[in-house]
Amino acid sequence: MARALSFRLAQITLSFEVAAKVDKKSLYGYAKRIAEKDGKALSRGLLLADGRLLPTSAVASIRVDPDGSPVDPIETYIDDKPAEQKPSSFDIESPLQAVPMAQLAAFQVSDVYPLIGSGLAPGLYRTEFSYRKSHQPKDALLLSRADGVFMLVGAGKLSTFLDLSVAYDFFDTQAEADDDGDELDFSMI
Amino acid sequence: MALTLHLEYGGRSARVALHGLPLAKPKLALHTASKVGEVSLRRLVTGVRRNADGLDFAQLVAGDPELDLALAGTEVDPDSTTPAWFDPSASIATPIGDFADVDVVFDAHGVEKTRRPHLVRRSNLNELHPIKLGKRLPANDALAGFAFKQTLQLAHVDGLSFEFLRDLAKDLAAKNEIAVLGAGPKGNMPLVTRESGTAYRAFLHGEVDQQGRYKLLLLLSDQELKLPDKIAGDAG
Repeated sequence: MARALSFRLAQITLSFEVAAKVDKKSLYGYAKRIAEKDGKALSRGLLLADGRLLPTSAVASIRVDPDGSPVDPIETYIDDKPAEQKPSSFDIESPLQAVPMAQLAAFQVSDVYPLIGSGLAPGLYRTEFSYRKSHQPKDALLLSRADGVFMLVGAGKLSTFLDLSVAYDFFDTQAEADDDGDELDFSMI
Repeated sequence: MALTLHLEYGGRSARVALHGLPLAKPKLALHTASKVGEVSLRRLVTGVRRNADGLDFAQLVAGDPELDLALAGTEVDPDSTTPAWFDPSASIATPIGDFADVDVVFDAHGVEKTRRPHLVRRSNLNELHPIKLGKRLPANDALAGFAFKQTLQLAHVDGLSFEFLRDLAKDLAAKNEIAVLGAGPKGNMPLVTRESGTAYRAFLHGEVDQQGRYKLLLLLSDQELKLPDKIAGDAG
């Protein structure tokens, strides 16, 4: 069953059902990389220093304290103060704020969710989204078009106007930085 | 470190800088701890034998054939292991070196389309053939039509490239358009920003302010904003 999200725009409450995430794989397909010998797909494993070979499924990660004892549950801190966990967006009413369409140019999308519902005028709206409880909800934009509403989850980026002298400090050095037809080909699998 | 973009516009070409951008909302500096101290992740052998063949009810009652406790709980040090491939049907797993590195390509419905040697894409931002501006799209149509996975900012490297980029930004802003960019001799290939990276369709968004400063953003997308066929079909 689809889950519902509630938003508040000025004094109006809007409710939308969240459809399945739309990604590149569901639109265009995907390429799965395999190792193959004599037509048979091989499995990936971990070769240990003593020559033993373990399937990757035989290894799991565990959280441990400095003594090596398993820890559960763990506490999360910001600057030595316990970090407050915020509720899932499905459990609260998230505020919406209309923003100019140009904000899409400085927004890196990680997830796209179609929203099923009505009542939102065409345009772009800023909010936050957290699928589960989290310490820091992600930035999100609601794009309302004539053919439906998409929720774009990701991260807003800062950009700057440039004069003759470039403000190099501004840029994040850690950041990641044959068809003649009219249609753009997105099947770059 | 900035990337270099070889760009052609208006019959001129220039090599300019391409910068990553800082987050508008910085990430919280979270860390996890217990009363004893900082919590860290370690990898251990589980001792669970997955995909154990020939297991039946009687065997499970009689013993624990789904467990392999010889190494259970042993820590796996990532620095002393290396990935290896083996035949999963072999009775003893031994590393196999002479295998083919293959991409199995599936369509959107999960049906296998083809197989090919693994494709390694090389960065094509700074090649002999410059990145070319192609057709222009109304800015709002382009912004609302694609999911942009990366945004990078173009910056000049000298006075000449300042004028080059400012003129381009001014032209795009005046017409309220976004330019489609393409690589290769015909300027119609997707852009790859890093070695072994993803291929993206690229778009250029320009703005200028009243002080004559410019802003050119390179928007990279590998996804149109649309519904998959089956969802679109269901809705209809």
